[in-house]
Amino acid sequence: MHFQANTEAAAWRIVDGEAVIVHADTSAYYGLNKTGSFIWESILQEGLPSRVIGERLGTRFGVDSGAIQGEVDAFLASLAAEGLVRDGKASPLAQRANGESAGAGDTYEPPRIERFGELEQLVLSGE
Amino acid sequence: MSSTASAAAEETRRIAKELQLAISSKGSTLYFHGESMRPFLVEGDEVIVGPLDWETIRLGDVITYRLGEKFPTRRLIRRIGHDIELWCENWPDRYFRARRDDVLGQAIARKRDGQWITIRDHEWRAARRTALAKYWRLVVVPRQISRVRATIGRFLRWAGLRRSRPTGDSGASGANK
Repeated sequence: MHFQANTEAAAWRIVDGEAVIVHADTSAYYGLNKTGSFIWESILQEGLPSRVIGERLGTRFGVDSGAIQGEVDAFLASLAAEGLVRDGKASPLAQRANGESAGAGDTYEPPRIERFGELEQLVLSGE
Repeated sequence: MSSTASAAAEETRRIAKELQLAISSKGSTLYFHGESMRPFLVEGDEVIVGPLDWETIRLGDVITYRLGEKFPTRRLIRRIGHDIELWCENWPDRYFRARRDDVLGQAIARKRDGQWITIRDHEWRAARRTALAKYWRLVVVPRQISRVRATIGRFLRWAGLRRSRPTGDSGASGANK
C-alpha cells in the first residue's frame, strides 16, 4: 500500500513543527508530534510505501530505519484507522529516500498521533 | 493536567476550530447564532465561509474573524490600514474592528428554509446593497451633517454672528443638559 494523506477529508496546519489535523467528516481533531508531522508532510503530495517513509525518517533524524520501521508501521496504521490516509498513487520518485539529513538539535521520537476528541458544531457569532 | 499541557491543548483546540471553519467551504456548513445581522443572517441559518483575498474584498462583504474563542460575522464597512471596521445591519449604533491577521474568511453561501443562495446570486448582492444603503442613511449621512453643522457653527462664532458657548469660571465648557 502507498500511504497518502487524505487531503480531501482533512484540513491541517503545521505550528512549530507539529501538525494539527481536523477530519472534515467526523470533526475529530488530532495533534501529531514532530516526527509524525514529518511523515504527514512527506505523504501530502505523493503516496509512499511504509518502507520508504521509514528510510526517509532514518535519514532525517540520523537513526537506523530498520530499527524504527515497526513504529512507523504502527503510526501509519493509526492514521489509516482514523481515515487520515488513503492508498495513493505512487510517484516514480517514491522508491527513493530523499537526501534530507538531520538538522541540528533534531532528536528522534517515535511518531505519535493524539486524538483530542470531536469539535462541536462551529457557530458563527452574531452577538 | 499541568498548566503548560492545558495551555497547549487549548491552543490545539483553537487551531482546530479555525481549521473547521476553513473546511466549511468543502461542504460542512456552519450555523449562525444571533440577531445582529438580521435580516440577511438570522438564528439558525447555515453558512459556508470561504477563503478571501484581502486585496479584492469589497465594502459590504460579510466577514468572519477571530475574537477570542468566538467567530463573529459582520459586514465590512471600512478598511483602515491593516485593520477593518465592521458593522451589523441590526445593530446600527455599534462598530467593530478587526486586524487583518484575525480575519478568517468571508461568507459565500447561506441556507435558509432549505434554500441556498450564494455570493453570486441576485438576492445576495441586493442584500449587500441594501445594507450599505442603510449604513449610509443611518450612520454616514448623519455623521457628515453633524460635522458640517459643527464647522458652520465654529465659523459663525468666529465671525461673531453667533454667541460663543457659555464657559465656567475655570474656563471649562458648560455642563451638558
